[in-house]
Amino acid sequence: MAVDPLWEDRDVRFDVTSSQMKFRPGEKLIDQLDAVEDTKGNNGDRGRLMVTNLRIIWHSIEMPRANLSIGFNCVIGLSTRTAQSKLRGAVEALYILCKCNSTRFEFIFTNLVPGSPRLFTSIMSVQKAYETSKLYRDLKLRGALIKDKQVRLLPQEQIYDQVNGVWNLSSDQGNLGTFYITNVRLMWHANINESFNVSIPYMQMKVVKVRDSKFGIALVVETSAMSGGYVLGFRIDPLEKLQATAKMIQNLHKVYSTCPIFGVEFEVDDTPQATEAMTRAPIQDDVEVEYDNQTDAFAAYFADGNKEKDREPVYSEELGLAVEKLKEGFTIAGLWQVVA
Amino acid sequence: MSLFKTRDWWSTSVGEEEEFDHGCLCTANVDNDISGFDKVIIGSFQGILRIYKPDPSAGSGVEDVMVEQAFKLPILQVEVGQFSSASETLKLAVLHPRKLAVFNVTAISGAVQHGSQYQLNLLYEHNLQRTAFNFCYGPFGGVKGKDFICVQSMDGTLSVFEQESFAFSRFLPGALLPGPLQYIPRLDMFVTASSSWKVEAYKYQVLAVASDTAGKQEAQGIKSGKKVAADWVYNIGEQALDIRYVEFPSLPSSILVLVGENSVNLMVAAHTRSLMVYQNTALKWMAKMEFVPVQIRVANFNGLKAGVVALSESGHLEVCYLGTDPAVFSPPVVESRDLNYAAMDAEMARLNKHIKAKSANSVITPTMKADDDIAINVHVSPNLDDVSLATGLEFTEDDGVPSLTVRIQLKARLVLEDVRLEIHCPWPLACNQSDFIITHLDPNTPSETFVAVFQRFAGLPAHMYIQISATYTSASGGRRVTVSRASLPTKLVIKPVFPVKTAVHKLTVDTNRPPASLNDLFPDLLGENAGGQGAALGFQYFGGGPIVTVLASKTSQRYRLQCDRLEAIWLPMRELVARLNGHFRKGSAHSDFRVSFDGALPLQEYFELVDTHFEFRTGSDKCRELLAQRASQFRTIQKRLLTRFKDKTPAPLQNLDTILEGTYRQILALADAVDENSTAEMVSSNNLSAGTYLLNLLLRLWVDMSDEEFRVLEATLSPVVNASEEQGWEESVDASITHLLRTVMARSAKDQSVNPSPLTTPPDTAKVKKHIALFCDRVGKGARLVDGLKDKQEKVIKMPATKTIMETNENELPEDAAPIDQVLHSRSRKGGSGLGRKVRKEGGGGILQPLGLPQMDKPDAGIPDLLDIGGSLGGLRANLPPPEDDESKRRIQSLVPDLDDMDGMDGTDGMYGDGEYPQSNIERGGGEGRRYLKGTADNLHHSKRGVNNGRLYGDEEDEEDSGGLSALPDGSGYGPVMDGDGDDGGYGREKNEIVYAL
Repeated sequence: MAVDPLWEDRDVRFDVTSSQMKFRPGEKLIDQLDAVEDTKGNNGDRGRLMVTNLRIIWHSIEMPRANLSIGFNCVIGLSTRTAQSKLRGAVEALYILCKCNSTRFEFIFTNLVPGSPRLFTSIMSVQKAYETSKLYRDLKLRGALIKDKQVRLLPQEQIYDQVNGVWNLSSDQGNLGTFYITNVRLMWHANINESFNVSIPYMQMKVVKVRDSKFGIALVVETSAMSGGYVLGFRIDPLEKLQATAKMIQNLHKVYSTCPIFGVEFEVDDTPQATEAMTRAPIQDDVEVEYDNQTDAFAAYFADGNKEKDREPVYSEELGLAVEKLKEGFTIAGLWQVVA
Repeated sequence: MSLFKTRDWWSTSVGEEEEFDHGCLCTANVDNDISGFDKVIIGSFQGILRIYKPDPSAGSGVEDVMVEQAFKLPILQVEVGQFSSASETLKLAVLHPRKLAVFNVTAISGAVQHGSQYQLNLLYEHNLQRTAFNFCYGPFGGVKGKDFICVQSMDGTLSVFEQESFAFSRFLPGALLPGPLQYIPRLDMFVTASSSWKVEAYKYQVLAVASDTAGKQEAQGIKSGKKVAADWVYNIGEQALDIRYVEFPSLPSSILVLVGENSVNLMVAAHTRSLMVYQNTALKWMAKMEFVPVQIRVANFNGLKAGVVALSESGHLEVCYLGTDPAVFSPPVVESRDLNYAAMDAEMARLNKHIKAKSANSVITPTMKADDDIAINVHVSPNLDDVSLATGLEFTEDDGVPSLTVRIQLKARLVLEDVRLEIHCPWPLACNQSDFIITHLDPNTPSETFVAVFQRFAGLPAHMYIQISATYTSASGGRRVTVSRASLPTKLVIKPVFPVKTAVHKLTVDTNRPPASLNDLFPDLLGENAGGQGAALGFQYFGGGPIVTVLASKTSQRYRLQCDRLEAIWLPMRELVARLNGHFRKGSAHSDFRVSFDGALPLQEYFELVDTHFEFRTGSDKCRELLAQRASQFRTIQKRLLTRFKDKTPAPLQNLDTILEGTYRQILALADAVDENSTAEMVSSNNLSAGTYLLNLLLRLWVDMSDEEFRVLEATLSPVVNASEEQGWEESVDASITHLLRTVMARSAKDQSVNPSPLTTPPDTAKVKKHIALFCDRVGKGARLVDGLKDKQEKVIKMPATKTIMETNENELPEDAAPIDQVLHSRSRKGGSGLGRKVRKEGGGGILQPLGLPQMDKPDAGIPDLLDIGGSLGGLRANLPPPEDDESKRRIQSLVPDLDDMDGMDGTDGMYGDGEYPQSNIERGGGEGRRYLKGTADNLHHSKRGVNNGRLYGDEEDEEDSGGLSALPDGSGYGPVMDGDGDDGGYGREKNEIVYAL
């Protein structure tokens, strides 16, 4: 069962197709605001903003093809400041600073309903919930899994099984450790060094299989490219125990990668949201027009002018600090004197 | 706002809902890796220690975490140093509130990258007996290759640990709250910033030897200790956040980090998210950060030399470098977005249509919202009240004054609280209650208020509009006012009387229709004339005002209004014209019926109104000037008197008390005069206003002016006469007329030279009168008041000769001008409406009236009469010689005698002769004053006042007693006496009143 690799929360995309606008399994709509202006890129257009547990989606009401999908993983800053809206003038707006593949974007959203803080509160609280639940979604090496000899479990997590005597094959001599199999992830830690451990959520597993290695028959877990594309080998003796464990992990992987637990917990105050969720999708044609030329809508959202990438850092003797490599013919003092 | 930003090299979000503060960040090659690159060590208040190896090239960032270990205790500070006695490699020291632990970090590399593991091995730990605040380390006492640790506890106690062993604890003197702590190796001393905002330095040696008893075992839990002395103390007057040692004296500031080696480069991060780099004291660079850091460090990493490591309170960790591209943002053009041309066209068309519709109505400027929150409906009852509600009348009217009920309805669009309703009636009208508070106004139930309007004062109204305003707080919180206006019927101020045959002023209007019966025109104002032929009607203003007679010619198509006073004609004239128009145009909108005026414009009479008004204006200025002068004189005398009374050796008062009393009297009289004058000025303004209305109406009828022109006329020759000290009617009308004469009415280019005169009170009215006359002349000659209209045919001008326009007109009044009613109603006339004109009728007495002096003060109330020294008191009142212009000035001045003339009081008449007068004064005057009374009393004898008998004195005494003037001898009349010109009894108004009575 092929599910697209998870991109929703770790990418910023512009003018996406309607299929990409659809929620992936496990993605849930948390809030929807029908009168929000994308003050930076589509100033003057009324649009709909949807907050899910993975991303923020905005699309223009008049032209649904003008849309944005902002994954929460890219968000590096949220603030409220005054912005100039064509529809409402100077108004308190939500600034979202994102970094995606070393490009920084800035988004400004304005709620067209005066005096409603819902835009700010919804996005900020979901962002917080997302930030504090990364272990549900990300591979983690050498984390603080154990505290007081106990596994630190996540709020929605349950341990299904604990397997002792698991050898990690990452070093020549191997490390004896323990498996913890839960509804969210697979964990292993070395018995002699608790800080040597790994935590692999099911959604980051690409393949779980049993195969031969130079250490003999081993359980191999391949992780997605996004999380580094690691190949982790584990040996469990005897073979039956290995296969039983592998089977269990494979089954759990199948279940939880199709409908993952993203860990973003929220409570919705008013129930009418449920009915809105049914009708949330914009009315769109089934036919999707393929555009051959790449969209350049993203250019409007660059956080630092028309600049996609920073130049590499160099050491500046003058300041004694690392600075961005200067353009040809510029000096630090020269640049500063222009300012001062 | 900085032009530059920091560039993110590597960043991560540390922990989940964990807190960090200063001390939680440390950069060092903690695992003693041979590459020598720094690692970032972070401990959180939630007790989780993390070590990062920043490497942006790894991609996913999974391997950047070297160690993540949870402790049971919060971590206050992490530092890396040579803390082990076994080796000189770097070890990690972690400070918990009650524990100091030192770890060794070792790496065990695996077959693959992710197989590397790192181990934290505890080397030693010290349990602390006091709650720790922070610590510093260094080679205390000059030890080589080792770092000792000094922990500062919350109570300011320093505990020194020489690696595995505890050395000693010392109290810092006067510690209240702990501050940053730093060890300076070169001087072997600790520097801290105390809560008294001082930087204090303590020698390590001093601390080390300051034990109570040499042999006693040192313990952490000491309760007392010898007081250690600071090596030096420097007051910085601020709270220090951090102290850093940089080969130079310590520099407390926000957050300081050493970045350079040769010169001192400081890096300061501020709460404005600015990261500033100083070289010595000069700002070398500034960059904007993404967040507010709690701690910053400089560290070297693989691929980044001297990067800035910053940690925020909420655990945002960033390794960054300084960006060199100025952040000048200009949104780039986005091309791929489809533009909906159809929709844009539609919107454009819609907007164009809207603009067109608006400009067609010639409303370019934004109009105020028509729908105010409150709508005022005013309904003026067509009939007078059956029972008059008039109260508080200030004049008498035999048959009573009628009143009229006005119904004011307030409708609100939304619920409003505390609406203030105010009704303003033009003088002399008034209403029985002029302001109301409506506490609650509901949209469903409009409020209704009834107000009775009636004439309260004797005088001529200038117009018959009442203004009603509602003040309220709108829903948006702003204060709003809605104003409405209603016209009152003329019958509220006039009553029908028998017509009077002769009158001074006669104005005739023509029509182009056979004459209508006046009975038909004024069915409601017939009175006793009802049975007549309808050829003549008389109207009289209430309060014994002038009678206006309306005559309808039997043969020609003319109507005449006549009255003794020009301004009184205004309301009947307006009424007549309106009623004629109504009568003949009934039902047809395009009737050719026309009312016209063909006679001579009553400019002469009008100018008298202007003059009178002007006279009062200047009179009030003079009065005020004098009042100010007297007041300062009063103060000066007071001062002198005071110095004399205070003097230890009493000196004679030299009649200063007399002068003081006199000045006091004068001030009272002048204040009354100012008061009186302002009332008179108001009345004259009102008359002028009525006269101007009339003149404007006549001008309009004269040349058949269009509405537009009439509006210009009303704005130019404004009937609104405001009392204002800064800008009066004369100069503003003069300015606007001059403007018209030089612009639309200009004859030649020469006229058009614009040279506006300043808007200050003119010396006389000659100029404005000349301009008004010229203006009327031009209007009569067909000049138009609005540009672009073609000139009319020249009117046959019947104007008074120009010379009279030019100046004085005082002697032109007909001899028989004084009408009987003016004499009869002299009181009301004097104080009110009649003042202006009566001035002249009464001859000399009139001069006083512009001053507005109270009646009792008039001819002889202490005002010296230069011309009638020997005359009897009765004679004073009558037959004063004709006035001269400058006499009024003299009069006012003479109100106040010149102090230099005091000598003049000697000698003369000697008619006084009443020895009792001084006696009685002496009896009353107490103590001090008495000594000087003799001389004073002598002087008093010269006054003509002596003709009065003793009774006057009795009265005077009574007044004195009640007035409480004690120490000074009889002050009441001194001012006038001092005048010295031998005036007739300056004993104050009281006595003069009595003289009249006699």
